[in-house]
Amino acid sequence: MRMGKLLKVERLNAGYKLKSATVHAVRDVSFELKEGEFLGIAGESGCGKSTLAFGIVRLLTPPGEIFSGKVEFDGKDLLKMEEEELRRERWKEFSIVFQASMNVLNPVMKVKDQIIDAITYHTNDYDGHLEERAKELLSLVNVSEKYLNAYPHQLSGGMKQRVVIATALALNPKMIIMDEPTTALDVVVQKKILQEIDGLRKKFGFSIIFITHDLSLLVEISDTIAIMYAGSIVEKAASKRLYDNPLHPYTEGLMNSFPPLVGKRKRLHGIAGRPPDLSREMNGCPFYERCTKRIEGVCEREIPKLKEVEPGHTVACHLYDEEGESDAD
Amino acid sequence: MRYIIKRVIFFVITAWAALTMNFILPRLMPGNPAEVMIAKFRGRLNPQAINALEIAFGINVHQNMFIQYADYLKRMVVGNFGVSVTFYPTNVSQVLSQAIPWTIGLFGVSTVIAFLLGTILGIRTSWRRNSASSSVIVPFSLFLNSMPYFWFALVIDYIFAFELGWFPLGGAYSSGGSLHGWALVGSILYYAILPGTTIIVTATGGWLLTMRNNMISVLSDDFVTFARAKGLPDRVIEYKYAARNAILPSFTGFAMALGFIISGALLTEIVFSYPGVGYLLYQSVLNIDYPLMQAIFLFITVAVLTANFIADIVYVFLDPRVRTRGE
Repeated sequence: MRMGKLLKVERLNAGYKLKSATVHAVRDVSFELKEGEFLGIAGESGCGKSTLAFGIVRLLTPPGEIFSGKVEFDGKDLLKMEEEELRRERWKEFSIVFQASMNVLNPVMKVKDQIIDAITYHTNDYDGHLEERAKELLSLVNVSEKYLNAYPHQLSGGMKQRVVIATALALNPKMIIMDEPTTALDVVVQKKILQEIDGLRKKFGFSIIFITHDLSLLVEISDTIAIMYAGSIVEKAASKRLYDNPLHPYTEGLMNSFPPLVGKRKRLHGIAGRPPDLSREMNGCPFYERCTKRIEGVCEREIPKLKEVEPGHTVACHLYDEEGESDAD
Repeated sequence: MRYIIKRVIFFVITAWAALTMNFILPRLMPGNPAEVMIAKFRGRLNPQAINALEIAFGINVHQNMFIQYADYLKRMVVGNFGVSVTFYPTNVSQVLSQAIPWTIGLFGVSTVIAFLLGTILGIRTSWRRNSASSSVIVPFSLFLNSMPYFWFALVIDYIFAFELGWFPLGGAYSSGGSLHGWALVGSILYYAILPGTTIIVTATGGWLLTMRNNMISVLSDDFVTFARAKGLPDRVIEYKYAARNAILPSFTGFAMALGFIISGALLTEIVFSYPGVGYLLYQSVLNIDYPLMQAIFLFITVAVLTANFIADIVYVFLDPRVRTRGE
């Protein structure tokens, strides 16, 4: 099966314009997502991954904004779309699942009405059978139908997140963006929900962009993994490949910071130092300060570009520069 | 359900406490109020009025305090407040029942209008937070809201009634000739315009600011962003998601305001000589009419308590979280 291209993000720049400074949280991010693909984006807190997620679907609210770039979804440029057209596309074509810790559900509305709302305003459908549909959606995410008439505060964290996922599925979108959907949940529930999500993807064939700070979650489940650091994607590869052969020193560091799935016990290492301040412009590699393999005289002077080192495996690091290339441009 | 029972019990206990305070306070005064009054009237007071005072205050010293208390509670429950000094020999309850409809009619309606108007404007100005109209409306309503309403009442009475003569200076309806039916209704409305405007103009700004602040904090809530992500139309997000949640604190304030209508109308009623409870209280203070004062205070207390009780009950329907909290 040949998978077509669904989403193309080109040189997206986004961030927050504050009075004191401009935080450049997403820097020149480009990537593609195929139909049915599960793309995981991993990075530590504050690396701009949520800004990226919200930026793609134009949900950034002031002071957040998109500075430049292009987001092409199914052949349409989302960033140039009229408000009303965008509103109609939303949820029908792509939906988003927020962090589980957020109170995403309206506290004074019944669960079923919040699901039905998403359908009604896109299809002009007000019929009674929408309740049937809501019931069906809840059963997809293993929530008992008796919660149709419940209010959000009567649900546990895991159930709330399942309701949100059910809502995201309501109109059979082509893509679902998940921004740390399981982070606030306990590990057992996390695992179960993740498996459910993957099952649903296989059943309905939608693409997923799954954003998390927990790289270990992605390794098993996603097709492709992109590693984000200080607002940029520093490495992207098929997840098996990335796991076996991480190229970027940062990726390597991340791999060493969680226990391996198989094999001998080994000592875990964190990455020393802290990520750079995103309100400052950078002249060199953003990871320079923390890198153990840095090349003095090169890395602090030039921002490394993302390049394909092997088919399907791209990395932004001067270690993989070809001879004499570092002096170019 | 348990929540409602709890509210009922709370209502009964506070009402009882208020009644008891009303019983104790006059008895804590040096001497006793009835004696003070009898001295003040220097025998000009009708024996029946003296008797009424004694009943009203229960100063029958020969009786045990507890019997007095029981007797007092009984009288309060059946609404026997004694005889008014000011409007002698009319019963206090009769005097009061004539004033209450005026206050509730004028100030109740004005308060409701102010609340609705302020709330809707609050929603609109928060939704279009940076528009030109909202940057004019907000400071302007802050100005109106901080203006003392009795002062504003004096000003508009002076301009529109005294100087321009467009409206009557005071009163509730035209006293010239006997009016009936629609003519009477028209006259009442005409006389109500100035005092009503005073309340609406000075109170609307407050509701606007409260609602606007609530809205602004709700608009940054995740469920509003999620509603946007769902691609719901703006109108739906604005009202069904944001305003529906933002109105909850405003609503509590509104219930309180309804309870305080009776006492709050005092100064406006004085300015416009409006025959409501506030004006009555003013007269009773001038005439040291203790039975009437006591009844009015009791009435205010009960009004506040009842308004709160109703608000608590209605709140159950507005906020599902309250329903389960009590259980």
